[in-house]
Amino acid sequence: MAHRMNLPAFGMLAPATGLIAVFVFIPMALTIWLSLQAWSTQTGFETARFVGLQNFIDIFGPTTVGRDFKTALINTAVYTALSVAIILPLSIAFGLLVHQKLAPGGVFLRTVLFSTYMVPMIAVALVFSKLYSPTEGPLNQILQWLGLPTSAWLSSPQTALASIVLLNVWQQVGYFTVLAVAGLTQIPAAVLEAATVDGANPVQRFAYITLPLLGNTLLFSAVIAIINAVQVFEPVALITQGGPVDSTNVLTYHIRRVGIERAQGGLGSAMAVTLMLALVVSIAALFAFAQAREAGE
Amino acid sequence: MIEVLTPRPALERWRRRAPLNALILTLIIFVAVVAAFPLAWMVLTSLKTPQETMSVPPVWVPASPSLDAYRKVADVLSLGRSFLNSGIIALVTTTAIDVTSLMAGYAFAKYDFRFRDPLFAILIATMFLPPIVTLIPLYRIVGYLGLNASLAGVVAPNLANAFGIFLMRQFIRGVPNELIEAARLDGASELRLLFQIVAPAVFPALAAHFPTNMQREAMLKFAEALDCVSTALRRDECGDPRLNGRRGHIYASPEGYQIYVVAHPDFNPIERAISKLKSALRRLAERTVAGLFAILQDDHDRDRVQARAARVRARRSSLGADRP
Repeated sequence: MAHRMNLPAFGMLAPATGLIAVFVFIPMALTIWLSLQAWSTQTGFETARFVGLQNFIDIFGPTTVGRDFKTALINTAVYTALSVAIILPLSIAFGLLVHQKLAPGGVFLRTVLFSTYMVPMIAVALVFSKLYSPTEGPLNQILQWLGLPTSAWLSSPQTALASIVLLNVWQQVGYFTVLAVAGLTQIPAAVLEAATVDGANPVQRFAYITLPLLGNTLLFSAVIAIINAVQVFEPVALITQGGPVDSTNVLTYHIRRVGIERAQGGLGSAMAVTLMLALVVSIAALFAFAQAREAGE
Repeated sequence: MIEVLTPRPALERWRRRAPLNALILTLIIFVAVVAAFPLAWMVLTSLKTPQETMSVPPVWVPASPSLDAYRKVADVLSLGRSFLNSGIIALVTTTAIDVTSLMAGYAFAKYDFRFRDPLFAILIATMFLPPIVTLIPLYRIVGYLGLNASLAGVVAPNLANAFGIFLMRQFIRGVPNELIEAARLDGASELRLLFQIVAPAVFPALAAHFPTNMQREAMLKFAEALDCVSTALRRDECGDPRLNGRRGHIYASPEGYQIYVVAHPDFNPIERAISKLKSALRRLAERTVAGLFAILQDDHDRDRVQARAARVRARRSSLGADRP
């Protein structure tokens, strides 16, 4: 299609682009603008008052505002790092179990794993709040049967965030397993056979053939996992409301609390902008790392 | 030599691999049981009495399973209205995302226009934008549009999204240009071309990918993220007055634990609407799957493509001749 078609293209693009402009781009621009203003969310935009970088100075400052924000930032970072570090290896391990042809049950496992991903978060949150219950929950009972020390799960500041990570891993690992299986099926069987003929054992085949060839899948999985983890909101809002003692107060929940509940739109926007920048930087770093790895090969 | 060439009996091969197979099978069963456990616990608990759900140590299997909890759900929630609301949200947003994504995806896949690639890149970048970043201004924009406290306020921001455009573009790129050119030569308008030639060609592929991806990524997630806004927006729209109109209150109510079965997939109106939609899409797919295969197989066979275009032309003109 060599000829240019500006007019029909404009017509075709108008609905989607217009809607995304009104409901994504304009709000995003406003967020950036508001991050430089003092503004109450309950009033119109015309009441905003320019304060320069004061909001950013406040959220990184030594006051309560700053302390709360930094706690939330660290919580989100820890949550994201833990989630990705657990989900990615598990998804490959489960992917290998689903993909292998030696024993039956691969498809069954994929179905079970993916079904957890289809359960709405509100149901997951409620079931896990019950599973985690220190006295009447089954998880501690199982730990007792196995002779292991029980855990306070969501009711202790030390373990609450990790418990939310576990919940997230349980719900999302099925999706990433499906991605891993898709990556595994793209590895040509001939390459693995050639390695076998050359005398490579299964561990070597995995480390030197399968894993490197999964690179692109892993990069994609990592990006999606990071984005999902940074956006964690529902389990915190539904189960812990950020507690105990702010140990599960993640950024999304904190931004909503400051920006909507406390109506401090300027501060909330500054936090949102910081979150956006952090996300852009970490994903750019991930892509740079992947490119450097590819160039090094 | 003959011995070497004799195929190893299947039984012996099986015996040699048996320990490994048993290990893999055990792993599969273990992982499946761990993954299914919370789901099983959810179903079991929905059949327990209130006393059993609170007992220490926990009761695993209810002594006398009863459906009381399911009956109570109807008392606590005005199910009809909630189901209707969720159904409206699901159907309107999914249909709108379908149409807007189809149009934009077609433009990106088959048109050549200025700033196409930068525009596509900018749109795709919004896929990575956490909804929370736009939440605070969105809260007021929806108010400026006069959509506060209405279903329209929940639906409006979800009528188009980048993921849908991306998906459609990928699929439409697979539709042969010859097919589109043939229809264009016949004088089909661009919109008609899109809905009568391109859409049927990509629907089978969509039927497979769209529901799972779109439903999770675009609809449920965003609808749930919008819950933040919804405390203000949906006060009058969602459910029973005793719940103060907030879906979020379902879990926090005194009978909270009993009520959670509402969110079981079988009871979730969004999931149900989606499964309806899925089966409708599948029916469409069945009707055109032969057509799709023909398209895929003929991709590089210009003669046959042109023959089909001629057939399409013939059918078009015969249809036109039938018209008064």
